[in-house]
Amino acid sequence: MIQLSIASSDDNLVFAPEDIIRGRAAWTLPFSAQYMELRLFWYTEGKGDCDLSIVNTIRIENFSSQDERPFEFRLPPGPYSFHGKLISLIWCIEVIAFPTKESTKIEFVMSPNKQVIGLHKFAG
Amino acid sequence: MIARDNPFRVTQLHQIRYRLLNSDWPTLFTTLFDRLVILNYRGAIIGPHGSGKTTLIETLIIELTTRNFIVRLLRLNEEKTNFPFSFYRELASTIRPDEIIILDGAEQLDYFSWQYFKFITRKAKGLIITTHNADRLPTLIECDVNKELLNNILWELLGPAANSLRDQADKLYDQHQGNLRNVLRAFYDMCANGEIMI
Repeated sequence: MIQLSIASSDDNLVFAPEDIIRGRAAWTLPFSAQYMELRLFWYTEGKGDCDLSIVNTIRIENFSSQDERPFEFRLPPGPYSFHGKLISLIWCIEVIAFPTKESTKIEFVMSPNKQVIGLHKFAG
Repeated sequence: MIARDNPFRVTQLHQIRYRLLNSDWPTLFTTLFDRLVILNYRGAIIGPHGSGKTTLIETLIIELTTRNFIVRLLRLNEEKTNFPFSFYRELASTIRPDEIIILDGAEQLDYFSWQYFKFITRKAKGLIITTHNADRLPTLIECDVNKELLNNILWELLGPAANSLRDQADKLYDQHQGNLRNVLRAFYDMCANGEIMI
């Protein structure tokens, strides 16, 4: 089992661009993993093909099968999280155990005014 | 409805496996592999637009890889109708005698490009293509669609809520002449615009 938590003063996990996200990854693995990788990334979902960009990674080595590590990422200036009828852009942090690729992820919102941007509200 | 909640978003559709109408997977793969051997690993998956050829290819690649075949997937579509000449040169120089080349969308190639492609890939162990008509390589399998298949897919995506879309599905199937991809895109738009509630 892998657990991921993000420290945030906001229950909705909303951050501004260039904020620092701090959190903790904890795991109890029934197998031996070679290494763990934390990934900060965004992806799109919607009518068209999925787009994905890994912005930063942290590789964790020398750990036991039951362990935990704090982490921090500085967010880039963009792109912002948004939701529209045709496409949504979602920010995530994911932790993956290699080579089995067991993983867990947590979503958060990145927006300059700390509000989820809803394009559909402006659509006709 | 926002994109990420739309049950017809692409990431959901990609999770749908190719569905067999009157067969099961072990039978299909036995038939396919027997036929591949007879055809010296050169054959075509035939079917009209949106009939599941690409979905079948994705399942076939997993099956080939499991059987220790080396597979190289190439794709063409209406936006990319040919490969640049440099690509043909690179393909010719890197092709391996133990690999199976899979070309999804072979109907996009004009006659001369197709002949050239076939010439280059003669050194590979196999060549499997998807195309609309049985005029490029001997037929491996024909992908067929019907309304029952569409209803099965809707059930997989929506569960019991799919029952409320049966009439709409019938109409869209006829309107799009059996192109399931376009039917599912139409459902995406209807959800996005609030014309149907799931």
